[in-house]
Amino acid sequence: MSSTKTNPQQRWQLLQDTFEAALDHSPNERAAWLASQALPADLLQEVQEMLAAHDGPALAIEAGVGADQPLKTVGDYEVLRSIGQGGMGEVYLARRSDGSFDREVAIKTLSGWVTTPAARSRFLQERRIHARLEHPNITRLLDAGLTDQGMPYLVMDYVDGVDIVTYVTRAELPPRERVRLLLAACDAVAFAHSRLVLHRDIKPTNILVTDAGEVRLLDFGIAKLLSDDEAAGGDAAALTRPGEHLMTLRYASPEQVRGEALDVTCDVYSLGVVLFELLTGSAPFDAKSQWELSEQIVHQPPRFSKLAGANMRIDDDLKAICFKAMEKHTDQRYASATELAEDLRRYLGYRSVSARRPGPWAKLRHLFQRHPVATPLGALAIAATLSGGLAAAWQAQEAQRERDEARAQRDRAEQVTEVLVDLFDSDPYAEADRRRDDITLREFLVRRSTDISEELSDQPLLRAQLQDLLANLLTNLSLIGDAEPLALDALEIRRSQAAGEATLPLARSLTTLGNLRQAQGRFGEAEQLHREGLAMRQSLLPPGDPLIVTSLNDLSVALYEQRSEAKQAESLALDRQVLELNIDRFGPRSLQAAQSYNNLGALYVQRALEGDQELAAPLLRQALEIRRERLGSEHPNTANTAANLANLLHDMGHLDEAETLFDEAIQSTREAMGENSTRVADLIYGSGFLLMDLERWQYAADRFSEALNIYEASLPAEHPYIADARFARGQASAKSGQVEGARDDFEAAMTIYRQHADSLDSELRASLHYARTLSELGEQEVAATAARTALSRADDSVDSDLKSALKKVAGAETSSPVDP
Amino acid sequence: MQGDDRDITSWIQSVASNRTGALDNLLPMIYGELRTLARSRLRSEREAHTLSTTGLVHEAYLRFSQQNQLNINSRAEFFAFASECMRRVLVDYARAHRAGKRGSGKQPVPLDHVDHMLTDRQAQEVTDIDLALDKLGEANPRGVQVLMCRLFGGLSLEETAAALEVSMKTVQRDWTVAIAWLRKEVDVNSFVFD
Repeated sequence: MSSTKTNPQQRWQLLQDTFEAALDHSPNERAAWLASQALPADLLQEVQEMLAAHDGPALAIEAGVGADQPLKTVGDYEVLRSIGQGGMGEVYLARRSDGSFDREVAIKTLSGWVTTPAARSRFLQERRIHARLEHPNITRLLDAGLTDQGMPYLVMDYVDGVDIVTYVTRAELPPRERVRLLLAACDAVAFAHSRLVLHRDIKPTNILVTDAGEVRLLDFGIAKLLSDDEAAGGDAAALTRPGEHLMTLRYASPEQVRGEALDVTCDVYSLGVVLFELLTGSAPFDAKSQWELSEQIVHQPPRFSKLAGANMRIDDDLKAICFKAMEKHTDQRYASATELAEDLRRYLGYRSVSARRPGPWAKLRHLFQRHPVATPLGALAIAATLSGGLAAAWQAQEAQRERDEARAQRDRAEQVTEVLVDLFDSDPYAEADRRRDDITLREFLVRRSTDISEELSDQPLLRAQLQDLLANLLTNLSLIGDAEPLALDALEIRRSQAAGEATLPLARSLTTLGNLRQAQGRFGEAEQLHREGLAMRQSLLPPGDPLIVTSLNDLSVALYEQRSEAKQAESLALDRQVLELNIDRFGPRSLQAAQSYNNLGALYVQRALEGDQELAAPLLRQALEIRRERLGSEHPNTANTAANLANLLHDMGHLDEAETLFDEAIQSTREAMGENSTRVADLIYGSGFLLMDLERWQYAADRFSEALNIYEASLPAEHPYIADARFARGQASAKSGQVEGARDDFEAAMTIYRQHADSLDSELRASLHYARTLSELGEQEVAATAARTALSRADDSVDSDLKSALKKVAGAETSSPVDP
Repeated sequence: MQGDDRDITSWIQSVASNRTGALDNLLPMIYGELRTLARSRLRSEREAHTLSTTGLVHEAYLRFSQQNQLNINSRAEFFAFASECMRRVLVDYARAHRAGKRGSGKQPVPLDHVDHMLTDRQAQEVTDIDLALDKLGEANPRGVQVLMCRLFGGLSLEETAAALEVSMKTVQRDWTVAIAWLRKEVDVNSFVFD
């Protein structure tokens, strides 16, 4: 067959053309036609052999060639169309052909699986067991059988849905909703387990969700049904076969990978993997090959990578649940799907999950999540709350754990918290509250604090301790009015207990009330309380004790807010002292040091003397770096430092960088503390000045309004912050031509400042602006009167430029404004 | 040997562009496809000799995943690729089967239950087909592809057309000619080995 000079492709073309032409002739004409073609001998012979083969027997391998005719019927069912190819075979949409069962069903064909008579009979026996699995979340096995050709098939409820991972991804469901879906799957699995049926092949494609959001599990026990090893009475059979093994590897438990006997915890494991995927969108292991994946499943603990779930915050409790479900050793896993379901329910109910053994603080956090405040308040806010005033002492104590005294104090703190948790938890209304979404933390805490006062009337010490704790919590949640009676009550009890002596509990109550006054804007009172508390602590504790540092810091903040030069000078000295103590005790990179850097930096920014900016910048940058690293960018304290730095950068003229920092800080504080937190308002207020400098007056006015709304909703009416915000808005409004609005703002600010002895400077500045807007509105006489009144209140401490500006408005009807 | 891995690689590269990425996401889907392929390929008129499809797929899959730097762009391309995988799997089985039977010095391929996978006739035929396809490769490469898709991939004519991106009519013609030629070749060669 090599006699031709043509190349192989040309020869084949001739062969093919000849062969096809010959086929166009009838079999008895072919020989004559071929002979007439003048073909080379070898080619002629080859075509003749091919024609013979064409009409002859097929090769054995041709038995597997894909059918071009679609399947029309399976058993008694009429096939409507193919709806997919699963791992085990084709899936068809079908209907009963005799019309006795008027519903569409899904049929799975499973050719090649059941091969021996023994396996067949087992298949038919097993299907009866599985047909009894009646559960709303499990697709029913309606029928099963073998076709005339011996091909096994399963008839099931037809579910019009998508797999659970696709569903949650498309719907962009939040984590809690994802958990709810998985919980339904868990319940179904638990039900099957109670009927002694394992699934063995749980994976997203076997958990469908319908348009109505209903969960349906597919293929229950199919893996076992398909075990055609008749020796395999044991459970492992279906899964120890290499193919089965491989197919589900991503969701397979370590014992499945090892081919060991299986029990219910194998399904628990797979549910854990599915949960992991629902939360992160990716698999718990990142293997390059199947072999590597097997190794990882058996040996490597699953990890939540930083990238996984980057768009979603995954609660530590959920992580813990995943990890417990995916424990390598079955005895460390949830013992059943029911246990897993229970923990998921606990998570959804904001209760402590069993996967974690929470300390009292975690319990308290759950308690608060269960009773969310009316404003959206994230978990972080609670953490921030706890790490704020309330927990400051606790943290300090923890840091010197080696000291017995501190340990005892911490234990007491824990005891108190435990008691508190128990008090709340044992409340008969708590269960009903849980079902009410609209109960506010405020209502909850207030009602409980009333209970405490009544129930513990015969235990004053415990009562004072609890009231103190509650007062701190309420203060930190800006529920100041509710905190006040508790703080006063606790202080009174402790004063009478102390009988004139200095005691640590009394110092704590003084601190609590001091912080409360601070939050009310009554900074002078706060200062006095903190001084008293500090003095007691200094008399009872060794120098440099964390509680003393806390008091020094509290005092410094109270002084700082009073805005007089003398107070700020003292505040600065205290801050430096606190910084040294913190660095000594905790190191220069500690959170405690970061707090000092932040406070000192903020003070320099506020004071704004020559050279202060240069002092503030490195302090704030270092504080920001430490807090970002240790607390994360989202933490309110990090945001606080970012805002201080933004203010500084603003002052230094780096407006772009300042704006970026402000926006970041506002965003993360909103997320962490809720839209209406005063900390958000502080940041919005600060960013307003930036807009002023960019001469975007109207935007600035809007920002100040936004801050003002928040302040007015959560602070007492006479709070200086309200005055500040009105003063600022007045300036922005005046610039944008809304003079009347500006006049009202200045007047209101002036009035509020007047109620604070330490706000004279601010008051006079507001007065000056008030007078000027009046004059701009043509009310020269009222303007002059206002200016004269202001001048009459001025003392020696008042800036001379400010005085002369006021004099101008007071004296001359036609003055040109001079900036103070 | 006829079936060294260089051939597989060049085939893969002809059906799949070499971009990195999404393969891992495709793996579960591909595995299901492979199983279906294996099942259809190995359906046999003699039930006692039905091959263990999962075992074969396991083999094919491992081969496939070793190539995981490749990006399989479509289901059709995968079918074409998987067909080649199946060919290699079967040839390995056949070779091992025959090596075991004849007691040659060669080490049998360490596969489970090799003797139950293929009958003597099937093993012989697989070997013959492999040789014949190599022989046909130069003269009629597309015919080889059609035969592979249909015989080893178990694809229908339509699926084959999609996988090879040619018309149904072309596939129909190529198939009719190529299978006739293959039957002839295998029939002739079987006398040599027996």
